[in-house]
Amino acid sequence: MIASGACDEQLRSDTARAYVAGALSPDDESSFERHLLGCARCQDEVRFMSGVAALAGSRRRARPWIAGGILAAAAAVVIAAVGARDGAASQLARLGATAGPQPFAGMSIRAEVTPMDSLFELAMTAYARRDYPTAERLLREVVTRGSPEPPADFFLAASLLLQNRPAEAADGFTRVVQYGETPYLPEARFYLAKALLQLGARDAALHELRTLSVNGHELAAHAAALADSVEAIEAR
Amino acid sequence: MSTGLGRAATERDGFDWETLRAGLRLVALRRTRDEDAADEAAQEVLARTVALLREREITDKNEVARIAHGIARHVLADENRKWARFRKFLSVQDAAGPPRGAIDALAKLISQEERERLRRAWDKLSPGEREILRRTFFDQAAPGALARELHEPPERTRKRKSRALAHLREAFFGMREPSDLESGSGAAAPGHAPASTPIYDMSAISVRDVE
Repeated sequence: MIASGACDEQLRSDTARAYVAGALSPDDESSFERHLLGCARCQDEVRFMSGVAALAGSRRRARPWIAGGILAAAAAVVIAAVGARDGAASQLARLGATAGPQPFAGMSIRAEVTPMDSLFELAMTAYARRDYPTAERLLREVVTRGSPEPPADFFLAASLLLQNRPAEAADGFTRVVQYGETPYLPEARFYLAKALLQLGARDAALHELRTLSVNGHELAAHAAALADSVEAIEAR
Repeated sequence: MSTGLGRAATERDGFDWETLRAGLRLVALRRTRDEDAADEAAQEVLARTVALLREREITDKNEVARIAHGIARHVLADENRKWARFRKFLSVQDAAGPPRGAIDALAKLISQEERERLRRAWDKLSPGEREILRRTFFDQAAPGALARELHEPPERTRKRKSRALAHLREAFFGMREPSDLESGSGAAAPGHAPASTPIYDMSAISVRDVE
């Protein structure tokens, strides 16, 4: 419980952080939002806390690939030890590995409702429960029978990648990249790079990662770190 | 985005509509996670609020935020229903962990310059300070539990966290003190004109996992 008082700095900081983190009770969240609507200082604090939270989360997710500093040194030792046995190709494949479904912020798409949307929902329900073969089958139907859309192509490629079929996944992500500027473009480039790494296509993967790492997208830090790790394999 | 209210209306009503608009957009963005949807929702809430205020001839300015919030809840609920079918599915990882989607959405309210300043300041923190912030912000670690993990007194952990946050805050806000926003003594950021803040008792708020 926060101690009594006005909207002072400490209260603002703690409450804003909790609001950003979704840690306020529904009643408290409602009370804070009413206050927020008229308080520019608290709005600034929420923006600040969001920035810190995004940074903390982003850096945490990037950590396994970080090539600089202590982690890189440790990783280099591991890579060196493993490399003697497996070679560069398998090291690249490891960097291209995906452990689970691609994390995404919710992104809305404006469109009229069509029968394909129901199929897409079914497919994504399967995707969410990690039933990738079913998701693949349904998404193929969406792609084949509906008009081409980046979401279906993207998640079809993701389903293939998660079934360890990097060549097909790379084709799918390439299609998404070819749509041009869509909300899926950065993630498509990133996971295309992952698929290419699994295939041992180092230079092509690096091209995707470097393209992504300079565009200011949230994935840029991850892409840069992964690219550094890839380059470290050759430098060794 | 324009509120569509006009300067004359703002001055006549004597309420800081721009702060209200920015607040509505923030709240809407957190809920919808989509900038276009948040803009539309904020605009709709503002329009309905203005109409209601005129209809009822409400003169108590402190009522404005309360009324706007009530309308916002309805509008955002409608918006969520309308957009649900088209929303990308969150991954299992996202759904199980902290509200990453909401955090990432809110982070869109930060300018590129602010983001860069924050990132540079982050890189200057010690590894220990960064870990404390990661555990606090990303893992939602409670201060007491965090201190036990670090094998140090809670007060020391708290101080390290405060010091790191102060460093980031200084970098984020730059030369502009946040308090300038309300006093009007400094250069306010766009959309943050000096506010006429509704009366609010923060003592009513309890925060889970926060000291």
